[in-house]
Amino acid sequence: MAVVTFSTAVSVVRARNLVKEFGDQRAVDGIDFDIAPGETFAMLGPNGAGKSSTMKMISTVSPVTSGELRVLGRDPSADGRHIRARLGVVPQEDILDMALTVRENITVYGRYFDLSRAEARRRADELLQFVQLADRADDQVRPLSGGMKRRLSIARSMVNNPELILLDEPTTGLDPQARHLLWERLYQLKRQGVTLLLTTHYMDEAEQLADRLVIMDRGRIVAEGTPRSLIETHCSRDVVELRFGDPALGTSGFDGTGPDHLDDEASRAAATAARLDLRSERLSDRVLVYADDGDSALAGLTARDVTAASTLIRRATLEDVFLTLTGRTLVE
Amino acid sequence: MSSVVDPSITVADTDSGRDITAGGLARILEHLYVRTPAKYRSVLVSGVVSPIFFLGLLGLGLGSLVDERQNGAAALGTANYLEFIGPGLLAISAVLWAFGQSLWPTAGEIKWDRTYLLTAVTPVSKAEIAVAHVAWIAIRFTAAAVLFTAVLVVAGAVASWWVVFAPFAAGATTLVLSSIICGYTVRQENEDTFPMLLRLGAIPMFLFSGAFFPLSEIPSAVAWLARVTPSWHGVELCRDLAQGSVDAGSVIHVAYFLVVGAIGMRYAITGFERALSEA
Repeated sequence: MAVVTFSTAVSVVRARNLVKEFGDQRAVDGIDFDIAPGETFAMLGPNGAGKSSTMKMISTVSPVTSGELRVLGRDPSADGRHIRARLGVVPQEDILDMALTVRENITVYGRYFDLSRAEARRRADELLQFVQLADRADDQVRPLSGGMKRRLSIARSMVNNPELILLDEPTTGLDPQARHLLWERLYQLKRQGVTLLLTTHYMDEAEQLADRLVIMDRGRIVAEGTPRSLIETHCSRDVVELRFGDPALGTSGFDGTGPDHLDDEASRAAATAARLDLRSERLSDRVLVYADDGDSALAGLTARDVTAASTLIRRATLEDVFLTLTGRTLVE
Repeated sequence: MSSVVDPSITVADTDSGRDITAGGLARILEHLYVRTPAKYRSVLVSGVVSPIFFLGLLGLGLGSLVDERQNGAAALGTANYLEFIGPGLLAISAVLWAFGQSLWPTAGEIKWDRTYLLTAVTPVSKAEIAVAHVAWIAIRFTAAAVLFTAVLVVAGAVASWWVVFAPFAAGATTLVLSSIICGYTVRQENEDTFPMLLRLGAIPMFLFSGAFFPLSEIPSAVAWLARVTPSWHGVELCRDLAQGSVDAGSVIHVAYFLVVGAIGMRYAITGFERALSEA
C-alpha cells in the first residue's frame, strides 16, 4: 500500500483545451483554467453553460472527450481511484440514503475510504458538529429541511478529509437564511485551507465566496478573474436601473406585452444615455445604464426629460458583467 | 478537516489499474447490506413461506394425482412428483427473484435513489458497482435458497447429500439471469418495456423450464428454446444435486453458467458504466 502524496506546488486542477461532447452536442468547448491549492474557485453561468459537465470530468465520473485534465496532479482516466480518494463531492441534488440515519449517511461513506467503523463514527460526529446537525445525528433523513440536507451532503463529502471539494450549485433551492448559514460554513472550510470548486448561477454567491471565478456560457469561458477585477474590467462602477412600467398596475414594461408608449420611453432613455456617452442595456422590464458615477448619470438623464416610473442606483455586480459579455441575464 | 494529506486514506497503487478488486466489492456490499430495507423478511418469505406454499399446493396436491397414475412418477425419473418438482421450484424461485430484483428495483436505484452516483465518486470503480449490485441480488437469494433447501429436506423432496450444493446452483441461476436483466435495465430510458419482459421472459421461463413437467412433453422447437435459458439449466442442475445424479450433464450446466455469466456480467458492467457516467 503506497500512500499517495500530492505536491502543493502544482495546480489542484489544471485544464487545457478541455472538451466534453455528448453525441454531436458540445457541452464543454475547449476551456483552460487552473485552480491553486487553498483557492475557492467558482464557475458562474446559466443552466447549460457546461459547469456540471466540467465538474463531472473533474470528479472522474465522466470521461474527457479531448484536451488535457489533471486533478491533484493526476490523470482522471488512469488514476481515478487515487483522485476520488482525495476528493469530496456535493452533488446538485441531495442524494441521501433515506433508509439510514443522519450519522449513518456519513459513516457508510467513510467506509469507502477504508476508515475503521470507529474512526468513521468519530469523524461523522465531528462533521455533524461542524455543520450544526449534531442534535439530529440519530434522526431519519427524510424529515430534514432542504438546508439541513444540503449541510449533511457537505458533511458527508468531507469524511475523507478531502483536499478538493466540488460543490455543484450548493445553495440552489435554499431559503436566504439557509443559504447564509451554508456560506458561513463554506467560508470556514476556506479558512482551513481546503480548496473549493463551486458552480453557481447566483452572482452574489460567487462574489461572497470565490477568490477567483470563470464566467461560462455555452461551453466556453467568456471571462476569468477575481469578482472585483471582472466588474472593473467589463463594467462601470455603478448601474442606474430605470423602470418604465407601473409596478402598481402590474404593467411589466416593453417586452411586447406592455403598452407601446413604454417601449418608446425605453428607446428614448437608451438613446439619451448614448448621447451622454453611457452604455446601456435593455432588459424585458427595465433599462440599465452603466456609469462610473450613478448620481450624475441619473441627473443627466433626468435633465434630458427621461422620466422613469422608478429608478435605482446600485454598484455593478457579476450579473452585469455576464449581461455585458453575453447580452443575456444569468437566470432567464 | 484540513488540506494536508490524510494518512488514513490510502489507495494501493497496484489496485488502480484494475477495474474490479475484492476490496472495492466488499465496500459496496457492506453499504448495500446496511441500506437494504426488510432484507431478512424478503429472504424468509422466499426461503420458507413460498416453498411451503408451493410444495403443499403442487408437490403434495397435484403430486398425489400424478403419483396415483400408473408409472406417473417413474416417467419423471424420480420416486414421486414431490422429488421431481421440489428442486425445480427452487430454481424457479431463483428465476423469479432475478426478475423481481433486476427490473424496477434496479431502475429505481439508478434513476430515483441515485445513491450509486455518490458511490461512483468514492475510490470504488463503476465496474465494481455493477458486479456488487448483481452479486447482492444473488447473495440474498442464496441465503433464501439455503432455507428453501432445508424445507425440501424436511418435506422429503431430496434423495442425496449432493443437495448441499443446490443453494449455490440456485444462486448461480439468479446471478447469471440478473446480470443480463440488470444490464438491460440500466440501458433503458424508462420502465415501459418491463411488463413486456415479464410476459415474454419470466412467464415462459417459469412454465417451460422443465420444473413442472419434462421438456419432452412439449413441441421440440419450444423445448430447444427452453434449453438455452438459465432457467432450464438451473432446474436441471438443482434436480441433479437433489437426486444425487451428478454426471457429465451437470458439468455442462456449470460450464453454461460460467460462460453465460461472464457474458452477462460484461453486459451489466458496460451498462452501469454508461448509466453512471451520463447521469
